[in-house]
Amino acid sequence: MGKNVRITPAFFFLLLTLVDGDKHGYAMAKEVEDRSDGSIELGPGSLYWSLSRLCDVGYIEETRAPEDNSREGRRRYYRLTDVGREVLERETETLSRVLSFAKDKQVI
Amino acid sequence: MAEPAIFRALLALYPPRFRREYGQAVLDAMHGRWRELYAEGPRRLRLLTILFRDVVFSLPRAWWTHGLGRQGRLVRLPEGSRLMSTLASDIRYAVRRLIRTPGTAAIAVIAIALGIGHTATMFSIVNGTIIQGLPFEEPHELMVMWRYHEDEPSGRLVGRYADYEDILERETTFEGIAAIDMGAAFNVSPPGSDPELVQGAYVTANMFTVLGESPFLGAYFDKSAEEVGAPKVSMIGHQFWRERLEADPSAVGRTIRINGVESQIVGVMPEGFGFPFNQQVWQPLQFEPVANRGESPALMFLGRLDDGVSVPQGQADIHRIMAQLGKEFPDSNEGMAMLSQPYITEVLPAQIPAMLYTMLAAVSMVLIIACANVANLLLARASQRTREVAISSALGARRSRVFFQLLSEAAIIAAVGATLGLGIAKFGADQFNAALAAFPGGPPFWFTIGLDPTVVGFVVLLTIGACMFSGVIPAFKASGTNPNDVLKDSTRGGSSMQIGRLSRMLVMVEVAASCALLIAAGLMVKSVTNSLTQEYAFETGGLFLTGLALPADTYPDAESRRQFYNELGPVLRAIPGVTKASIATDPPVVGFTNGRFEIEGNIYQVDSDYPSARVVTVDEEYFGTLGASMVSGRDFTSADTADSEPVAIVDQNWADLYFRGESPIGRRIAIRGLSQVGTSDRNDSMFFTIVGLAPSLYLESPFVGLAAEAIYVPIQQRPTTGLLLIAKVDGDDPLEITRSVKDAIARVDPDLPIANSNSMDGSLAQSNAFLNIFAALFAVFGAAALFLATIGLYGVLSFSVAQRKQEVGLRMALGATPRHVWRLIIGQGFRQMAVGLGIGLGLAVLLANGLAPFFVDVSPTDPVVIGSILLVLSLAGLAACYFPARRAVRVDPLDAMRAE
Repeated sequence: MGKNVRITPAFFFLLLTLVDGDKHGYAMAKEVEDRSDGSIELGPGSLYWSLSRLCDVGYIEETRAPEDNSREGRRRYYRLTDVGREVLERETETLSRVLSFAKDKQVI
Repeated sequence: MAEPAIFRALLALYPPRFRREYGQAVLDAMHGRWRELYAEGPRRLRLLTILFRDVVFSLPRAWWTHGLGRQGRLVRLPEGSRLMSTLASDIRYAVRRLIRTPGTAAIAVIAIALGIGHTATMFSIVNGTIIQGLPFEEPHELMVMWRYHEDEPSGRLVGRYADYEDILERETTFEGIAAIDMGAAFNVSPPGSDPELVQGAYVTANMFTVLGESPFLGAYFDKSAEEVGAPKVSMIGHQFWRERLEADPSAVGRTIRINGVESQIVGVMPEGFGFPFNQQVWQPLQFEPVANRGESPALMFLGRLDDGVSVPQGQADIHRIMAQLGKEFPDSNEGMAMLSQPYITEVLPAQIPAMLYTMLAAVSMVLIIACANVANLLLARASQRTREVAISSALGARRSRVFFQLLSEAAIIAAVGATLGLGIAKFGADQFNAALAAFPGGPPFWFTIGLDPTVVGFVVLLTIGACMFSGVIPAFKASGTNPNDVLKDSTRGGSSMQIGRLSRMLVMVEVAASCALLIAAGLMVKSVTNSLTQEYAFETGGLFLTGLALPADTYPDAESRRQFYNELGPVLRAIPGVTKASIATDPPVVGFTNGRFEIEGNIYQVDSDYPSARVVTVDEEYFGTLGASMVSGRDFTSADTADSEPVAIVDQNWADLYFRGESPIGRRIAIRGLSQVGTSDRNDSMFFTIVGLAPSLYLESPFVGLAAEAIYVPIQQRPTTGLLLIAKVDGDDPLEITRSVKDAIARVDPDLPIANSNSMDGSLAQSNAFLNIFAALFAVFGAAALFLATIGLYGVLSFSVAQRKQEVGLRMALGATPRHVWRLIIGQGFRQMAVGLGIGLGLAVLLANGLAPFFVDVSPTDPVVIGSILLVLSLAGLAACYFPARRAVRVDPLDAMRAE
């Protein structure tokens, strides 16, 4: 635990999906796919491997499912930890600096 | 439903710890994907691609992070440099050990190379034809539409232009619908060279946008080009532009002669575009309104569904419109419906993927055999090293270290084998491409068979799989040995006995797999021999064939075509070296035309009730040119003209099937021409009186659905535009007259190109190309399998004899005769053989049924083939047993006991 993991775009997206509340794994994958316009497609194995990495480094943690009446009663829900939120903010800050630099250079 | 099984199989590849923790969640997610995709129609391939990519991405990572911790903990891998040095030393050690026994290492590498090479070859074929799919955006949205009569849902009829316009106006579920006329002959004369027959199509201007493809140069023609009388401009294909116009960057704006008319090039399509099949020229579709809807021109419709519209929704929309049209235009549309289905099924009907996947399954057996062999070799080595391993464990070597050492040996074998295997796959794919290119019209434009990233990725997966299959079991066995057990027992521990049982099971697997493969190979080879040794009722040597297509613009009616035949005949016969020549539609044996007919007096309810036969249109010189004479009755003569009584000749196969021994001469038949199919008037048939009985010149071709029975009608009474010229030539090479034939035709019509010139023997060979290549593939697969299985059996028996040396010695000391010893060893070998062959026969039946469409006059349970394969395998097995048994007999009891 506590080791670092490089925040790849997929990890970044996954962390972002948890900002507005706890979600189960598959819903996270769908949201990532939607928000990245399909450029990040997380298959089942990749999804749970990524989640296991994020759990290992303590950025997210498994949580009790909110009142879950759906057929699949065993869905696993995830929550962003404080560490995760901090990492997310730091990464976003870095990215926004990169972005404004790119804008200054009129790359976009 | 096979999917859940696939999910579980995929899941099984992940490390146990990952599975325990996330298995159920991963399965749920896979099911979620599956449900979602199926809501949009059957998208099995898309699903498989997603899962495949997913596995490639996540499997290595999951093994890295959740790897081989046995107690559910992470394996603490040594940090940085230490890890690398451990790994490097493991590999160095493995290489040294392999080099010490070069023979074994070479056999193992060759085994894996053959296994991976064959599997990758077959996979590249499946990948290039099925998995890659159409190279357009959202190809699953592309629908092809065919009409059918409600009485006969399986019959497929071309669409009508009148319907097209109405459908276009009323549909609500399509982004666009294009109409395509593929039946057009394009005689193209590029500046300064001979005219050439190019595949082309008349298309509505929106076809390119429906496909979502942008031009490489220039721009598409637009809607205004479809107006009758607008200049006929052309889009040309990249290949044509490159080869015929020397890749001229200013080609747009130039003109070329097409069907005798100057046409301006408005654009060049990008590389690899040949829609709908293999076309290189596209001209705007122009239609004059017709009074009778049923007679408006025949077309293929291509639609693109709106986003989010499912295949059934699109189908329902089309059904609704066709039902409306049926009410509004009962004369032409009553009872007509229209099928809208994914375009890909047009080229690849469901049985082809099924067959290719059967072959892939068959071929992976070679790989399984190879892996079983390597596993056995490694097992044998591992058990020889039990003491070494036990000592190093006793000295404190970690189990995982020992495990990885053994595994790295398998990894090196697999990696070297895979590299060679890629070479084999490259060769196999090249061969297959060569066979495809020989196919009439060439392969569909999007077939790209070769070692693309998907294939290479697949090979990497195979390599990992092969390494695991062949290395993990021996490594576990060896590293799991309890040091105490082995060190206590001076020679043989319990573990080596276990290894023995496992080896024997692997040999049974090998024998079963090679038995199944060899039977399939045998059946294929017999099919090829059947088709090659076929006796024809005519001399195939010295015949020249060439195709010719009369453009409808220049030859609009029967009279102009008859005039052409009458002028061409004498010109052809005047060519020096030509003794006889004929104008017809199809060559014997390899022709492609099937048609439905009716026998006068019989009642047929729906279209599919009409029997079908080859319908060949020929002139009066046809049978004479082939050197075939009538069995009974008369040949066509120059007296059979447009105005005389319509006559026909049938062949022996036809007479046998429909008249069983009675003479058909004097009976009347009608050919159901294309123009009659689908019209509401079903009684407009023209009857031909049978005047002659010809020898049979065709074979049944179940794979393409062509009959072995043929009907011949005189070309003067059925003047067609798609022609085949046949000439009987003096001299060795009939193709020598190609130039003279071109010149002769140019004298009659300078704009007419000839296409696909070949000798009769050449086109016979070509028509067998596919069968040949598959038979060759299977023969190689089978031979490789036999080789590997024999070596495997030999290896296991030798090893077992070496291990049982003391036992044999003891038995002999106690009075066993050499006879007993022979029986002991050979009996052991044959028990394994028998079980393997039993399982193999079962597998062979499954395999042969999947391949049955390929067979020519061969039953999937041909007793001769199966019997001889069993014999060959038994002999190979006997040979594999012989040498170890001989060694056992020669054991000196004293020697053997001393070793104890």
